[in-house]
Amino acid sequence: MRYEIFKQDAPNQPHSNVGSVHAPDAEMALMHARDVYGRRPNAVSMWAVPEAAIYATSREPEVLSHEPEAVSREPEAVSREPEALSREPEALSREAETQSSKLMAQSSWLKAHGSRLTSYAVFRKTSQRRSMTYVAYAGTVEASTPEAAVTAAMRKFSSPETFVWWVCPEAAISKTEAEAAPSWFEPAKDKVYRQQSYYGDVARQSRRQRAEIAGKLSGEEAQDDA
Amino acid sequence: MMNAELTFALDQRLLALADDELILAHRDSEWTGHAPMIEEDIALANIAQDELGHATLWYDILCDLRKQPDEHADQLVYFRDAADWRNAQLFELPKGDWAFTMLRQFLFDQFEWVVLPALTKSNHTALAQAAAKVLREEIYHTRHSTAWVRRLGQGTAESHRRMQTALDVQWPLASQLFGPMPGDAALAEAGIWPDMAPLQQQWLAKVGEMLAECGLVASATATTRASRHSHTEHLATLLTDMQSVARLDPQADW
Repeated sequence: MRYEIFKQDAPNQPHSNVGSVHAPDAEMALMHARDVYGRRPNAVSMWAVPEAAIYATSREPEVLSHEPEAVSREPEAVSREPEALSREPEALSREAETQSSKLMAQSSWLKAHGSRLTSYAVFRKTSQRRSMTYVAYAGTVEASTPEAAVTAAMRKFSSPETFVWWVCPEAAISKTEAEAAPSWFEPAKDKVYRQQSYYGDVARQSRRQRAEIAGKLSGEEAQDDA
Repeated sequence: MMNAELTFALDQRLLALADDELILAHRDSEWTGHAPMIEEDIALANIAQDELGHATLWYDILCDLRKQPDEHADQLVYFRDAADWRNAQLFELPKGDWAFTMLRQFLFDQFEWVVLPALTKSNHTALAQAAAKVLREEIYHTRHSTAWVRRLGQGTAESHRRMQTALDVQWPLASQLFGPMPGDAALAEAGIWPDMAPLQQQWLAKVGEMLAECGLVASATATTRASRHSHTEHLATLLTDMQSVARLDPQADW
């Protein structure tokens, strides 16, 4: 089963979607998420939500069609892979069938889990900037269906302008435990060798060493000349 | 100040623990690119890297203890022959299947889970600090290996059979982890290294609980008499692989 992963970088920041992992259950999904998305520092908490529990919609699909990156994250698009857009029509209709059966699976999951008035977590994408590729957590709304949750979310979180909405029953979110955070996320801060910038420093250092050696050599030459 | 007997006893304890971590890290790292799925590939590579880091901590304390300016972790790892390694045989066995690797990791994680808290109370400050650092990462390690032992042990008939097969090989060797070493009593008396006997009982209780939950059967009497001085043929093969590059040019600057 696929789980969408939401990572929080600091206590005062919202959980943002960072991608997904495949796992047999939520506990394993969170462990995989820690390894895949928490290897480098800047994580204090993670959430995992089964793909089938997420209802996603965009307010203005025509805007999104110009933005391949956004299309790939947009659930009503034919596929998440941009290259699918150039495939044969036959393949596209097959994809569309798969999509519609997936949507049916989603709605049956949601019926089983969310038919009463229930609390939905709302995620949204409010910017087309590259730095905000995916949706981020906005808050919760009470609703009896995912569609109603989106309508309620549009009212409650009316500003800024939102391009993509994701909602899921709050109960579908599995969260890392606060007390586990030191073990899950803190050690990554000490592992500087996992960070790109660490190797930048190494390169700078060896450049400096080379310069020093070159300086020494030219100094010796100067002495020889004298 | 520690007398010669205590210093030697601590030296041997540190070497055993560091070698266990390092050889396990190497066996785990052999899965890189071969794990059953990409998420686990990353997870086990992470864990291998962690164990490697832990080994380095213990080797560093050991080198400080030995006070020989030329000796450092890299030298102990890359330029020591099989006869001088003190790891338990459990860790040098080939990685086997996923069940074998997960069970071995589980047995070691549980070992650290009972030993490290006791080590954090050591009178040896550097040792206590290193234990606290390692323990922090072990919370995650134990969760990971426990999750896998539970899922494989209680999964399909095949996964259960593979776990039982792994346990039959590993269980007698696991007793080596808590095997007595010279100077143990003096170390415990001085509050430097904990008495391992009660810790072994804690370990047996923790591990036994999990095995029972999975319907896995550990032989009650199987224990190895092998000392940490003796090894299987697998260690030499592993060392050849691990040390070959460093030995190509011992003077190379890394």
